Amino acid sequence: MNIIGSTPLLLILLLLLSSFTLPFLKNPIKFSLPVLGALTILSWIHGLLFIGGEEYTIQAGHFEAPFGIMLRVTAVEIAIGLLFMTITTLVIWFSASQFHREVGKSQQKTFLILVHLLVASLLGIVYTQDLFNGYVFIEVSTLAACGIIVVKNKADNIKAAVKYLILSSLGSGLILMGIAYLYALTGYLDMTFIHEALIPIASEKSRMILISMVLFMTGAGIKSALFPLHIWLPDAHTAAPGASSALLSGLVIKAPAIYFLKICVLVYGYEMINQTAFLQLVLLFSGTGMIVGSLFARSQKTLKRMIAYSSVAQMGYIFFGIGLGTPAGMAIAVYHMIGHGVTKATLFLLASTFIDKLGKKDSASLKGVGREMPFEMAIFSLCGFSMVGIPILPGFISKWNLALATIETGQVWLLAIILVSSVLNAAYYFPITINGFFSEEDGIKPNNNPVAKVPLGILTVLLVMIGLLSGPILSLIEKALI
Amino acid sequence: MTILFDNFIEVASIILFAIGFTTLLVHNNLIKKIIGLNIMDTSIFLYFISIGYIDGAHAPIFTEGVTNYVNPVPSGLMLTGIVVAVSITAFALALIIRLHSIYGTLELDEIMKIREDGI
Amino acid sequence: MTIIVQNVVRIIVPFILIFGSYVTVYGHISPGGGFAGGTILAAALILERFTGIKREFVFSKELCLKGVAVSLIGYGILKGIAFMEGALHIHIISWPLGKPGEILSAGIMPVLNILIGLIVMMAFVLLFDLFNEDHSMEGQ
Repeated sequence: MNIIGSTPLLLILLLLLSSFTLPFLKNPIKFSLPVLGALTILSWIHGLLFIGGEEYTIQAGHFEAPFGIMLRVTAVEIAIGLLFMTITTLVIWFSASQFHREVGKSQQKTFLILVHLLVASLLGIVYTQDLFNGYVFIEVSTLAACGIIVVKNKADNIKAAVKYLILSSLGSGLILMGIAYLYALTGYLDMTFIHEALIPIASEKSRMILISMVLFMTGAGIKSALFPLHIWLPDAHTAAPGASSALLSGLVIKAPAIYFLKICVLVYGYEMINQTAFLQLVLLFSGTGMIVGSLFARSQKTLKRMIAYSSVAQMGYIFFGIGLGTPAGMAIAVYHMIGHGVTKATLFLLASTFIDKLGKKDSASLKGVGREMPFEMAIFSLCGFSMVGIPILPGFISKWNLALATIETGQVWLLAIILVSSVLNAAYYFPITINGFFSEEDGIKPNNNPVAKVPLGILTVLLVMIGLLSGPILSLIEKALI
Repeated sequence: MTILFDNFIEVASIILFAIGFTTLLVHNNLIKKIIGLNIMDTSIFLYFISIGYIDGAHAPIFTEGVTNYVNPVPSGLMLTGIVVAVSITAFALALIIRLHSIYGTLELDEIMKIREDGI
Repeated sequence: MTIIVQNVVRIIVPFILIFGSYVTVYGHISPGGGFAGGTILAAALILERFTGIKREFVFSKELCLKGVAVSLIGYGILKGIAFMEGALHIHIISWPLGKPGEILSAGIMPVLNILIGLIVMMAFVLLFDLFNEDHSMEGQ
């Protein structure tokens, strides 16, 4: 394996080292943005070369598993890793021109150090094959995510960050308890070794395995906003500055979900999770979340709070895909993570643009904005269409394939939940689009600060490409998950 | 019943977890919530380290003529866990100091009342 | 603090610093290592700050932040070379394996322990200085 093959390890190391050199620089954005751009191009080269090939593992250091840490590279990890790197670079590019208007130039260095740490830890969660290594990276990402909320020093932010920190460390404690159960059963921490050691004892220790599954689901659910455990999310994502909300809602809540998916597929395996009642629990919570999240979003007045509740509903889709328990369901969960990451990041960046230019936070002030800012309103409408499920866009592909996978498992009555939640999604995205383009102006003139249109354009192009290329992407991901 | 007495360390750690969790939920004072979080984390460390213990084996430091050692891997892993718990406690305390300087109080119900009256 | 406390602390702190350095440097042959040793060193420096002893050379906030960053870069480069060598299965640097029981034997392990000890000590002193500032008059 050549040097391009070991790119994931190189990415994590270089991101961490660049984060440690940022305190010494006078102009941090001039160093951070080229570094992020170069590493994104490197990860795209690695992704395009290796995504069709067979899976391989990288060992960190000269010790093989189970004594050392191995990183696992398959199509799933490459796709999600590309998502994380690309979205971070585009969000930082967008916020380079807007950050000082919202927060203040003195905090930009702290923000960039935390963003580098955050992306390094998220890539670590995605690529790792070792349970405890994933736990350490989850903790680093929690601290960095709380940090980028309190970069803005207002009372709302501090309160939201305290709530997020306490609930999130409760979730990490539960994940660590699950790891302790698995270590007590098998004595290994590497995912493939635990799987081989669990198969002989699966029938006599089934209760302990069920307890560890539920601990993992609750812990990952708190951190990924599964339905009844999502209460920290609206405050945190509303109060944070614009670029932080985009990173939080697009990337940070996906990483514990992909960790949970890897545990379900690699540690337990499809037979073990289908034998217990565990998947019924996941389906129950995620199905309720899909509907209740949209219902809450309908009744919000603030634009960012509405988009934050929509995140709760969309994470319900992802856990619904995991809860189906088949390779097709898991592949749809991964595809929806990619599509939703791009869409939600774009929506939050647009929301911060609207708030910055109009000076008001509620969605009622967006009446007639489409005449003054047609570019931004058009992208907002496109993202809204993707969320609802208009064909070609990624939202439609996710819902269609999710319905197909549901019919395949034989539980046809779950289709009703998908249909109801799609209709509810339209109930809060379409009024903004219609009001934006077709109603009378509200009298608020936007101020003419320049906005970075190029990152928004690139994000839109990515969104449409993910929808158009969905066939090859889905088949590659499903091949890697069997 | 004998199972409970044989694995008394695990039982103690689950009871400590419950105590820490209840402290986190029930008390109003923010500092007491952080103390409850620490008790919870400590109980998980106790559980993990007790997995490695073998009755009658020696401490895992290389000495002459000893062949059976206690498993040192859980202790090493929990060292990382302790550092993580300390970092989270430090960050949470810094945020609570900032909250106290804004609202003047540390009790959660008084903070909610001040926010409802509208600052 | 009274002058008795200050004088007693002035006598005790060097011994605590020596003990903390011993725990850090002997980390590869006896229990301890970077984290525990760094905490003991930080405890000594924070004790000095509690009793109000003033010194000429002080670990100020900027020095602590820069020191932590430099040590982290050093640690990252050393560990990074070791990880990349393992990933690419090449052997550029021959890391010497250790002899059990000897202090100067385990390759770069003592160096890594000392770096972690410095990082932990400076991080704790920085946190104490940040907590000790007077925030009571700040508004929203």
